[in-house]
Amino acid sequence: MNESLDLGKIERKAFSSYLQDGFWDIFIGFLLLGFGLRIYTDNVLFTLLIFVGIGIFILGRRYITMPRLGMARFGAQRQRRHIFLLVAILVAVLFTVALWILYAMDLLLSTNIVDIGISLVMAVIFGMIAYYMGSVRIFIYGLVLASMTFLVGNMDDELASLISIAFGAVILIVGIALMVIFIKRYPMKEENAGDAW
Amino acid sequence: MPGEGEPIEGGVSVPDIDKVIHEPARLMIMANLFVLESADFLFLMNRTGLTFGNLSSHMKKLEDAGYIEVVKEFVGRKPHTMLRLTMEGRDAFIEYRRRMGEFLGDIPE
Repeated sequence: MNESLDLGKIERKAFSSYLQDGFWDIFIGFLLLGFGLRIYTDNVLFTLLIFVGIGIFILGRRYITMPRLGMARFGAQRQRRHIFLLVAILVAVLFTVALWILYAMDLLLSTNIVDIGISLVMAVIFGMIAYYMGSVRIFIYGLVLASMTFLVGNMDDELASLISIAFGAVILIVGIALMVIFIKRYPMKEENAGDAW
Repeated sequence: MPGEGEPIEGGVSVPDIDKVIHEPARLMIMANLFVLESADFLFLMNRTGLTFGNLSSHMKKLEDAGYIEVVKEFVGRKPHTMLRLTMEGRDAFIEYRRRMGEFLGDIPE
């Protein structure tokens, strides 16, 4: 309770407390691992790791984060930013699909343009997510993902996939470490504490 | 020289400061709820660092003053209690900040 009365800071701290659980890191770690292992082994089953990451993210938030941290709804300004972010992601996804369609129809001469386009879209999406969350960490992950997308298309597949696997493993370990710290920092309160009053 | 609690030449006097909000724990609760639309009891416990009993007693005082309200809702199939500032509570907090600003601004360097 030793915070100064800076309302903007209080709001940012309240919001960023949801980022301390490490589940974003775990999700991005699995994404990079799935991406790298899929190319390295040429086994499509490794793509499923991405869904494992999504599953852990959803279940972790539901059964680990919420019962420890409690629930909050943020103000109108953040909700507007949230809608803006969703619209931007939708536009980015449509742009990516359009690039692939153009490529499939032989309207784009080089896969380089597709790679650059998708890399830029990834960087922009993660940049916006990072801005919305106020997290430099997520922004760095976005840059890593964007670079990996570009590198896989433009350098030796084996080397690019190994770099992706290495980054994925590091980010996953960071996520797990953050999750453990979070669990220690926010132990379970007595049952129904969130519903007290 | 003004007497105790009296304004410094037309400024804000100590009795003008809302004492329900002025208590540090309640001030943190009000500040947290001011920047949020609503929050549950557990979230406020974590954000303010207050114990269950302490938070309960401060909440009771704020509720009695008409500054916070309880909203019952369902999360999935489970009932969940959210807390939020009333309009009166928001106005009181804005007024408290204004008066404290004026009051502290009146104190000579």
